[in-house]
Amino acid sequence: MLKNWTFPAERKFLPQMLTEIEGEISKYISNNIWLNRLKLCSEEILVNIIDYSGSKTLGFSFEFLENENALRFEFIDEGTPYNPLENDNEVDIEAEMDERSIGGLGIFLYTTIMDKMAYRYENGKNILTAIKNLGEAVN
Amino acid sequence: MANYVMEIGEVTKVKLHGHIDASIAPALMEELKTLIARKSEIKKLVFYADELEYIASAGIRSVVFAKQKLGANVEVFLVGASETIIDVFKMTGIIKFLTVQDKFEE
Repeated sequence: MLKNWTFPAERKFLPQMLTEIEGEISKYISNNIWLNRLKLCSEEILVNIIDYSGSKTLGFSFEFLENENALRFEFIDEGTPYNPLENDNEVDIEAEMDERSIGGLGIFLYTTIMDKMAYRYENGKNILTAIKNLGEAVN
Repeated sequence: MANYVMEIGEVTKVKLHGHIDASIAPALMEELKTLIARKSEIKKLVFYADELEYIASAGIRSVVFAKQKLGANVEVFLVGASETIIDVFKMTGIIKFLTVQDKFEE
């Protein structure tokens, strides 16, 4: 079943967005570590949209893909074309503290945690999809 | 309500609680900047995380910023964090720069 939400694209609405996201994905994931990781990915994606797309609103939806035992996330906004999978700063998690860049952690986290991600710009909308396979470790 | 409380001294304490998401983290970063302005007083920085439920990359960046500005001689502690919080610090590779403890021991 597909469930979707729309919010103003502003940081002050993040807590409400995250409450909805946690409520939905907790129906499919009981492992606290993975629940937290997917909530974290969602926030990092939402923050990128809020900070860079210029859209007044944003939408997100979740769908459980039964045949694939996977959860599909979709994020949509009507801002300027913006691919949040680009500008990967290639965070080096082995780097020493002095060499650490203060940016780039968000994209590093969601591209690391999600199994598949894709971006397209269609009919004036940025559409980002992400798939997480719900294997034994995740559940 | 702020999601952190600070106490500056030789052992500086920062109590984190609730959710440190991107709507909260900028204010935490500003507070940490005021703390860093007094870095000559600080020998240890302790983040108490026993009431912290969630931290996003914006919050992690604040910790990285503090550690970088305070320098190698100031030990930074993460105390009482849950496994989900520790997991985020592990994934970002920041854990190796912190002393992780269940209860603060100098």
